[in-house]
Amino acid sequence: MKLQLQDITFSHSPEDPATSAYAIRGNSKHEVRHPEFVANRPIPRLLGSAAYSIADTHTAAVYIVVTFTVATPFAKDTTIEVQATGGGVLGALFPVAVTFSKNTPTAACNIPLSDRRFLAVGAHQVTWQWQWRDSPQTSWQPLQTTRHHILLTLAVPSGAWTQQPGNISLPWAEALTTSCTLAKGAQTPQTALRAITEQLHRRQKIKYDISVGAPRYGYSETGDQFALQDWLEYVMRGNAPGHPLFCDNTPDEYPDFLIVNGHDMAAATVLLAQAVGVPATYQYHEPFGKIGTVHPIGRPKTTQPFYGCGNSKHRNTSNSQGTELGNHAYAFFDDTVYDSTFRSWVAPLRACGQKIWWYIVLIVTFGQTRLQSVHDHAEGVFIALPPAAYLAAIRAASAPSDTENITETVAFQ
Amino acid sequence: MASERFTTAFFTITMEEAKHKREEYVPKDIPDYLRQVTATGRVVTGLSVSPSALDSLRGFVVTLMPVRYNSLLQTATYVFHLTTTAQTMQTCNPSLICEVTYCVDPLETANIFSRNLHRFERQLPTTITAAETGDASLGWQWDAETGAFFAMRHNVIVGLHGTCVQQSLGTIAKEFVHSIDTAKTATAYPTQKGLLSALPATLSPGARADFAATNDKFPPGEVYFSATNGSVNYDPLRAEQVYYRAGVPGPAIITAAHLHNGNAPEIFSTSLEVRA
Repeated sequence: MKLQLQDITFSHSPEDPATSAYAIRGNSKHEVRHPEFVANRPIPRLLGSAAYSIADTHTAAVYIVVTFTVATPFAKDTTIEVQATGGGVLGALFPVAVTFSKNTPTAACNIPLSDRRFLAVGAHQVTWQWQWRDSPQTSWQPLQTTRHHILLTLAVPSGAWTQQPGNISLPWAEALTTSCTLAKGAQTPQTALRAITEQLHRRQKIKYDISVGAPRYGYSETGDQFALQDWLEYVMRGNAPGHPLFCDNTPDEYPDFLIVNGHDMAAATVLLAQAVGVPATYQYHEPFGKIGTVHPIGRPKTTQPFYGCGNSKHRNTSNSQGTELGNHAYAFFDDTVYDSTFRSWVAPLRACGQKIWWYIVLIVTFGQTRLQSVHDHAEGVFIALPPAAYLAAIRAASAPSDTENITETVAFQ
Repeated sequence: MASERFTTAFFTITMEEAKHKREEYVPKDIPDYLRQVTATGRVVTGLSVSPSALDSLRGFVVTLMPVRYNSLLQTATYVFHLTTTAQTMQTCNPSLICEVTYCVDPLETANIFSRNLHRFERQLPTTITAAETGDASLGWQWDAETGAFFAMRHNVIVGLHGTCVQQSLGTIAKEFVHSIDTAKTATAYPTQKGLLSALPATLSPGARADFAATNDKFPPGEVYFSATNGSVNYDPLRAEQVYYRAGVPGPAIITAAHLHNGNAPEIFSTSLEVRA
């Protein structure tokens, strides 16, 4: 008998994310394939991806639909058994019966993911080694090896992302892979957004626009479109064009597509957070006021971020107009601010002391107590701060406190 | 008429929600001057705007960035980076970014133009020039080296921001506007089915309809698609094959914009019914 696994469908019921992978597409140009796996028809890895919501599948009976074929149909109804070892987060597949009807070369069956380990956010390459046998009395025989790109998110992506069939805003596997990699291991929305915010800020490849704070990826206000596909390609995958150059012929010369402002950073943070199921929102804040000593993304500490090309020696003094932030944008979730553009400057001795204190508490409590706020203070990150605390931390003491104007919650594509 | 459209500005979340949002949003602190601005309601056709054709920008090396079509705002934007290799006595090197944006809906031009006030994080200086260049213009100088200038004429917005540019940005903008004034205008883009003509009048939800949209005349990097329902996709195994994937039951408008070399976009549009 020549048995073959023909295809595997993960998103068999995308409207029911409790039992099925939810609906996704590949990126701005490409859909994912359905079924996600088809034997002998290779496609780019991302276009065979499947994504599951940890929250929705928590106590549900998740299953996949698998189709098998035989070269020569059976003369009578025939049942065989299949199973699969390996599987990573999908787990091993326990033996199930597959029944071929008389004279029918194909048979489909639902196989539960009983051994799955959907515990934390992640992007996984998993492999199943499939086996089959005629009956429980015979030994297992190897059938096929299949490989799958599996994405685990905290919930079904929301906000800018939709589950409307055929829509361009179905979650992109490319964005999900990036988000799941940044937020790998997160089990709560707070830890996922923390990881995304901090890792985006620490990306050394991107630098703040020290001239005028202009966006490069198109999004400032509601109704506009963030150029997510370009952001993923240029910033996250490092394929930015070498030209044109920002601050051409100065010590600050740098590829223009790797220059950003707060709008770009907030939009990217929110979109990537929403992709892993964190309902963060984009907050546009105007007027913002004079800021204290900060590290703009990719830049050394400064008291005013617009010191201009080749003027880094003046970055802590300025007497020109418009050295303050006229506006700023950041991610907002759970009534707290997550700012991936700026990091507060912390005096080295103070930072060192706080880190030592953080380690002492960690060791004394055998790793049970992580003083996150002490750690954040030492790092200078603006993460999970209530708005008042955030403004107090980022603004210079002389900044006005009664003029902030936080806009309505917005979303974008 | 146009100023009413202007004050009920521009903010949308998705294509489907665009109209609803536009009615409820109140724009932030738009200067009185801009509140008086009215769009002409006309689109330029057949225009090719390029900084390399302007007298005041001779000597600059012009780099055209990838074009961008914004399907929510329905704008096509060309961005040109200009630098100069000439040795100057200045302390910094002249660098200029020129943006030419074509608004498909001419009455939205003033809305989209006003966005430039909120675009830069650097606080705007107290002095903003509202010169009479084109239908409206705005300009400011942050310091001796750095400035910005925006002008709109019909459905075209010209944006300039640069450092150490010896030429007046206002003068450069005037030249742009002059070149726009030489173009023919119409009340709307002449749309045609064109490369979307192969799409059927009705489709089932989730159905796929192929059409060949990429050829010598329409290379992949120059054609941008959008759909109000469903999506336009590229076949991963055949790069030249484009198809429409039907969405949920209801009407769908599919649009294609052909952008090339600074030209006013060529718009193709068709509508179909997704029927269960």
